[in-house]
Amino acid sequence: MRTSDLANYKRALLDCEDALNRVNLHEEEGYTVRFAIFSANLTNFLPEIPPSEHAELFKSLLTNLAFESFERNLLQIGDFCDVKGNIKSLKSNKTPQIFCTFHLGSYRIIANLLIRMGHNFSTIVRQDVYSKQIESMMSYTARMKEKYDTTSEVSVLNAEDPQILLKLVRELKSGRSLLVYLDGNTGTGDEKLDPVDFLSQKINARKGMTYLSYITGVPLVPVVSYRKPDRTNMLYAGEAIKAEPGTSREEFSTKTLQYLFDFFAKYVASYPEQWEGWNYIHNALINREDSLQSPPNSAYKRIHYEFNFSRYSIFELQDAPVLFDKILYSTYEISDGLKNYLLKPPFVNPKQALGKFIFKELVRQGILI
Amino acid sequence: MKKSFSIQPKKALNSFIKEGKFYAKNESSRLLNFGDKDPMASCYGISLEKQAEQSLAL
Repeated sequence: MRTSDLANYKRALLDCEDALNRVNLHEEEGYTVRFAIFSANLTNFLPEIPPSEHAELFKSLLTNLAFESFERNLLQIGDFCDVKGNIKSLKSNKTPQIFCTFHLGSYRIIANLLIRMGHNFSTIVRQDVYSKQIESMMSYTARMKEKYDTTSEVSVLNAEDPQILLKLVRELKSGRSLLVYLDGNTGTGDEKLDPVDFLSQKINARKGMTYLSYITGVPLVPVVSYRKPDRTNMLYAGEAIKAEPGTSREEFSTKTLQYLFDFFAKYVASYPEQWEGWNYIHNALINREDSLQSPPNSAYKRIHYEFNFSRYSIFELQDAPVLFDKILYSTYEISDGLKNYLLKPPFVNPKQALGKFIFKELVRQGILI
Repeated sequence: MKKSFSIQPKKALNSFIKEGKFYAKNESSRLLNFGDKDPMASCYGISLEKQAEQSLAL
């Protein structure tokens, strides 16, 4: 790699960032809702990050997504990446492996490197992006073959295909590898889920890949990519994981899934502004409603009340103010009068000021505590 | 003026959130397609080297 290439690469990223800085994100459609979801997820999964830092982190996330969009078409991206850890697995293109990764940093670098290293592999995507992805992946592979001396064959499989597990077993048995994003919200409807601890929450994770590894004997290799402060990329491959003789399928699956999520959690916690999953991780949260209890009768008879800032936020949409529940990820349209009231404590006799019905509803929903 | 207080579930928005209509992905690509300067232009200057996989820093 020439020094001038690295300089050009870094300049391109700077240009991306400058371009984003010229946009008033608050005026972009859907920004307030997107930010509310992002902020709620950070509050729930990484409560140690103060809410005052969420807006800056969200902007950094959008910048990182812009970098990723640019880099997915940059065939040379592998040149701007340090690779560490289990390099042996990355180089072994003759034996199948299940490469597991997260949507962190420049998360397609792994595909770029696998192609350059001559791996034959399949990747799995959601049905709604399947037709788009298959076309772009084929075109990408063709351009990579033109540019580099590689015999890599890549295919894209539909995660919602009812036969997907069978197809994946066939892929592995024929010697092909898999590249899967464990944090993607994909899989067949009847795929088995296992609860795993992830940061400060419990989520449902798909255990299809650990099952596959157990059934076929093909090792799982966790791989993560993140961007360093100097904007170059790091790709780290963890040790390969394989079922020990005598371990049951259930035991291997449960333990390994937790191990993999613990592996990735360290990187998400270290580089929260680089994880695309903040946009959808709430869909994997386990039974949030069950953790909420109805307030006791005494909750309606207090003298002092306050707005429950830790659970609710208020943002403005064009038509009306919206109250956002950060636990249930649900929204309420509220009147301007109620918004102004909630944002201006202390509340003196709220039952009288709001009316009995509204007061009761606010206490019932834990909006007034 | 008498203040009015009302609260009601915003059902359509709740469905959109659940269906993932507010994923931020690709938002940035759209945002960057604007103005007189192509932010990716400077990268076109990256020279094309015929590197084989062996030259990768692995």
